Amino acid sequence: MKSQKVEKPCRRRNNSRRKPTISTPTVDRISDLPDSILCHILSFIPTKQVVATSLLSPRWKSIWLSVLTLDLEDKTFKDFTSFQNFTFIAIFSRNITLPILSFRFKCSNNNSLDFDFVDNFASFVMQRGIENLNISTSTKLPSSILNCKTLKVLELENLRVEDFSHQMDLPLLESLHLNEVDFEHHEYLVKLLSSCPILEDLQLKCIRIPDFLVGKENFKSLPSLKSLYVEFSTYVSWPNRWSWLLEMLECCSKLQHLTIQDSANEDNLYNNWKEPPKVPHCLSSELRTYCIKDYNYHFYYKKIELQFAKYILHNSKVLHTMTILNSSRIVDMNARLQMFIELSSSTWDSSYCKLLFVP
Amino acid sequence: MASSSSNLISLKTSDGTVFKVERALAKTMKTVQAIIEEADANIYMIPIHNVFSHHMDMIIDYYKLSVAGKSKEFSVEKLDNDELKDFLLAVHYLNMEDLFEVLTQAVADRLEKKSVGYVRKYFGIENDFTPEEYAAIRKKNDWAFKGDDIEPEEDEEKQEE
Repeated sequence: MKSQKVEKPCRRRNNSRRKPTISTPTVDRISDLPDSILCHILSFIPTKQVVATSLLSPRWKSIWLSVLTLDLEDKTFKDFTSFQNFTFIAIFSRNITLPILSFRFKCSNNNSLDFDFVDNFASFVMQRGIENLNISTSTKLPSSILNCKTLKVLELENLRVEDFSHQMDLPLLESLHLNEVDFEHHEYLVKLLSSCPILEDLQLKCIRIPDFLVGKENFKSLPSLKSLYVEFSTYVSWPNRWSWLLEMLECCSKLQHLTIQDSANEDNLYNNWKEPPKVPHCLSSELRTYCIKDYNYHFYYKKIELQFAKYILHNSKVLHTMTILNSSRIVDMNARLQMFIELSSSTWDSSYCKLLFVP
Repeated sequence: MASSSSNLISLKTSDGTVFKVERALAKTMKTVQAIIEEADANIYMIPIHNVFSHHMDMIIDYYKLSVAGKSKEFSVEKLDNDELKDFLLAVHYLNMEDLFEVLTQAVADRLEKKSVGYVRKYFGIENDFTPEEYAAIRKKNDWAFKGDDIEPEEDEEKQEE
């Protein structure tokens, strides 16, 4: 009697006993998935590689055209012309009725990239139902980018906001990250922030504005903002930045999370810490976490930053965590101890709050 | 809604194992949820085709981690390519949105930066282009490979698999 081999149904490993000669090839079950799933997998991969899938098999010839994301970076191309050419064809080959949900464009070549090229594809992309945009180039900012009814997440790096008389309207924007962006005038920043009524998450890292202004009339309200991250640049002189920050906080009545990184190296002995006449509303009733990033205890001119931290501790009723975050691996334990002593000896308003040192 | 007094749903995998899972977990499986809602009376046991017990183990792991807010700790690193594919297909069948996102990202991570040749082998895709067809598509999309040092079919480092 032939005994039947009972195969363990769990592990279906074909590889171990596959013969190298003729027989049937491994079953291509992944191509059995509907196009939408294949496109979804490809949506996480840079476009250069996605287009290459057109060579896999006849089934895959046109799948790349239906992927709803575009991710283009000049570094992955041998020369700038190939990159420019690729970008143009990849964007405009697609069926115009198909949305582009996510678009990422990074170009570090400052000399070859011209504004018109970026402006052209930006206008096209912004009208395709885009939700997630990430652009890193050193050109002027195309006007179409700040006027989009579908955008939810916007990340801009190195761009310059100048000659901007166009409309700014970002009704669905929830998250805005600006890194080393230049604003020709402070009013452009104010206008931008006013055009995002439901903004919840804002990062301003090393933004450069020649005419920072302080004063209530210069800020508009950010009623939905929950999280704010500000980094003051090493290279920009901005003596009244702490007053500016307090004005910002006045406008963010629902702010829950605040992170400050003060990389400025300037001597601000001449700027005394001035407590505002009224505690900003978010500090007294909403702020849950406060994080100081890369604080250098040894620089004497960092005293204001420490005073600001104490001000927060003194006035935040619902603060539950204050974090001192150090991004470098070297930890000065002595400085950390000093910091701990200073902060824990000040008055704390919150009934429960922990002081956290990371790492 | 089924008037079951129990908060547990019985799911029977393809290899005959019965898992009793919380209703909340079953709710994350849209396919299962649809079956429950369509049934008039109590359902005793729901068979889930294409899903094996080792898939259910991982699904339960993921569920426990996400309930504890630790879904980022879920890892499929230990799965080989075939196992990951199978798991993805099972989760796709069950129509579980979050876990599906995690797995498609995991597959994409394994494919990223790999050559066409690697991807073909990974998925077991047969190159059923005729030589003429292949030449035609290669020429048509030449703009995508212009300026590259190596052919798209080759890996950067020639590796013996």
